[in-house]
Amino acid sequence: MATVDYYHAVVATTEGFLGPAAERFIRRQIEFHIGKAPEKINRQDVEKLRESLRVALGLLVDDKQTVDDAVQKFDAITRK
Amino acid sequence: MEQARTSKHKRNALAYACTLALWLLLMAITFSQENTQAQARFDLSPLGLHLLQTVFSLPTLFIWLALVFATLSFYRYAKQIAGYQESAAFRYIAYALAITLAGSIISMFMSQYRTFLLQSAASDLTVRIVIKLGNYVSVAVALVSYWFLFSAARTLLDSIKKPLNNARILPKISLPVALVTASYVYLILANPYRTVSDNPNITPTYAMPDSRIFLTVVLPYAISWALGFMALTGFYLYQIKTSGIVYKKLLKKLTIGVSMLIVMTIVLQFVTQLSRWLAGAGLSAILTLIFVIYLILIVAYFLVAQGARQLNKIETLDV
Repeated sequence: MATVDYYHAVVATTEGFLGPAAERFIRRQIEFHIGKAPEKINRQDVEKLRESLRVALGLLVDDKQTVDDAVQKFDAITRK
Repeated sequence: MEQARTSKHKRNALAYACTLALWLLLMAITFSQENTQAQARFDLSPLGLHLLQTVFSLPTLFIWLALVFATLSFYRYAKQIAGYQESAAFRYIAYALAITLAGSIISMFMSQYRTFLLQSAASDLTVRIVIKLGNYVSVAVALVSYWFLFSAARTLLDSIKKPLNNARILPKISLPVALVTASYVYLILANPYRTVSDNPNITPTYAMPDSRIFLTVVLPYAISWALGFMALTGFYLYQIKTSGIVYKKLLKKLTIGVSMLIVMTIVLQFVTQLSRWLAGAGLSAILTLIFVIYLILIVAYFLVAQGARQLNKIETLDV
């Protein structure tokens, strides 16, 4: 069974919101909150990252639609 | 970590303190000098003149502080994302702003020195040298700062693999650059005080023959405007082509601020040509013109700094 490349899927999705800052944001969250190599994150870690991004977007822009959109896209990753 | 933060705060505080100290020094020099020309021209008492000088100088202080704020914001952001390609672009913007600040400070001190020379009946040659130096400082600042802004825009576009296509952009910016240059040349030729002045209240704008004005002032300015317009185009292209709906929103203030800065610095260069009109204008007209320009510049610098701070927010969010 092929393993899912969660890290690159998460970065690609986050790029849709944070652009060039996405990779730095995800790496920082993994380093501080998950504490493992980025390429080794699993589905549970993606859920943690979804929460981080949800809070971060809420702080950056006052737009519920954008936040909900990001959460949905992260949920799609966990269903892979 | 805490020690690094304290040292950073100290460095920032020192930058603001030095700027304030330079402004106070400028004010002290301004107040210590008699300016009989200005007193006679606007029919003012010495106290009235000092009040007027303070009113004129306060926006200068705000502009300098806004420039320090913007420079430090970009420098901090560039350091925050060190190792990534965009880092160099934001460092270039910080350099452009720092050079603009240095140029503005040098110009203000040179202007005071010119007043001192006029009051102390210095030789015509000395006054002309100081006028020329002042012009060359402005030209050099425009060239170098626009070059850095252009380099920043180019680096940003390179970082998203959408390089600035000079061959496509140059024809598009050539019309506005030609229009600005033609208008500038027209204003220079219409300025009777460009080489010499028979009005004791007005010093010559350039104090050099026309051929040298065109070669050493107009040509470098035209190049700097081309760089400015290319930078402007580059920043807009980056804002359109980069990814991230939130990132684009945060980038908007920066793009608007940089555009305002480029346009307003060009306007300021034009205003220096209006000496004939300004010579006949009343005090309120001159004050209004200066305040409008200064106000737009202050807003532009704060927008640019706010843009940098918002981008920095993404990098420092601890969620």
